[in-house]
Amino acid sequence: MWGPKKGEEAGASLSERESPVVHASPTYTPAPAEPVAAVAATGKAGARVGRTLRIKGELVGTEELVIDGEVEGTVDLGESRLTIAPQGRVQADIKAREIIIEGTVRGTARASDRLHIAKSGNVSGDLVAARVSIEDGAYFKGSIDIQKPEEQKAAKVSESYRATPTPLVAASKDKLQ
Amino acid sequence: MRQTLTSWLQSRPSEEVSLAGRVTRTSLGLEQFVETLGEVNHPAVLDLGRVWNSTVSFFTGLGCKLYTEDVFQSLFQALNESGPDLLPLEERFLGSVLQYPEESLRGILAWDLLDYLPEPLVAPVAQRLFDRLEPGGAFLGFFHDRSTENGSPSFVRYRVLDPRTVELLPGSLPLKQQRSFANRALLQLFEGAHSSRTFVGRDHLREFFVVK
Repeated sequence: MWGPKKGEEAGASLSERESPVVHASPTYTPAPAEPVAAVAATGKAGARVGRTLRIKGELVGTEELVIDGEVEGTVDLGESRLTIAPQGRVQADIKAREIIIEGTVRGTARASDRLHIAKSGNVSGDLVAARVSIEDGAYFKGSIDIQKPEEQKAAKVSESYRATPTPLVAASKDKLQ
Repeated sequence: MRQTLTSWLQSRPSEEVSLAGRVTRTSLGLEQFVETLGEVNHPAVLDLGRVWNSTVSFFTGLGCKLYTEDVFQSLFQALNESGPDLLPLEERFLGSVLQYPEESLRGILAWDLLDYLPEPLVAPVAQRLFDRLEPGGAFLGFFHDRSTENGSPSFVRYRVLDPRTVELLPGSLPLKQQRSFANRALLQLFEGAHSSRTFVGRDHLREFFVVK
């Protein structure tokens, strides 16, 4: 995806107590001015992926998250809010109750409530949300599908039903016929 | 459809919404286009212009899945690429735009894209758009007459305000109109169409509406 910025080096470790949980091995670099943590809890505002941090993997959590750095993989915040700040870059499938995009996103974004793309937003991918708003001046390429939460749940059930593998016995029987 | 055309029209105030200071035009082609969408459930619509919140709200409010791809921007980029090993324009442009499955779209809003395409791109793009339409699907394109008072028209963007009205906004891309299509040429481009209609406006803009 986005290569490491000039001057960045691998460094600091991530505290496992902090949420959201990073399941994959993250590669990130602390900023000289912010030598704290990759994903730092910031009180009321939830957690923040700092501007010089780069994470590859699966981000899961139940608190608000602001991404100001780079994330590649998946982000699932359940019923919380996700904000991709103007400098944030995300190449991932993302899920949250509310998604606010001020930076760059490549991938699928699914918001059970609201999805907003700010003027500075640059989005390529498929959006599914109960409500979508896009400020004039934003860049967007992809699809927009409005689904109320109950419709999203129904779609999810339908997808999982379709994804259920055919029983081996039945498959063998089909082959024989 | 969550909100039918009829209910949308009924919900409008009796007076026209004040559009002071905004350049708008009544679009009979858009009205036809919207009616065609209403014939199926959850239609997929492709807008080839820039994303606008009003357009998104309008089509998603009708229960559509809306695809947006700013092909004008892609055209500008393709025309301005340079380099020693550059592929021909047709390959570069067609290799990067309109990548949708065949017969997957119920409607395509092409605005005035075909007017700005260099000649080698016109037929392939028209064919690709037509192929992406499902049977019964609709295409709406705008075509400028070259004989405007001030010569070639300025590049504008279009956004949907309601089923009969589009707003024209000044565009920043320095694209130039390449030609003025005769009606016969348009019919030839979409010769497999089930039906077509042309709406001529006083502003030297023709609307060409096609049903596959």
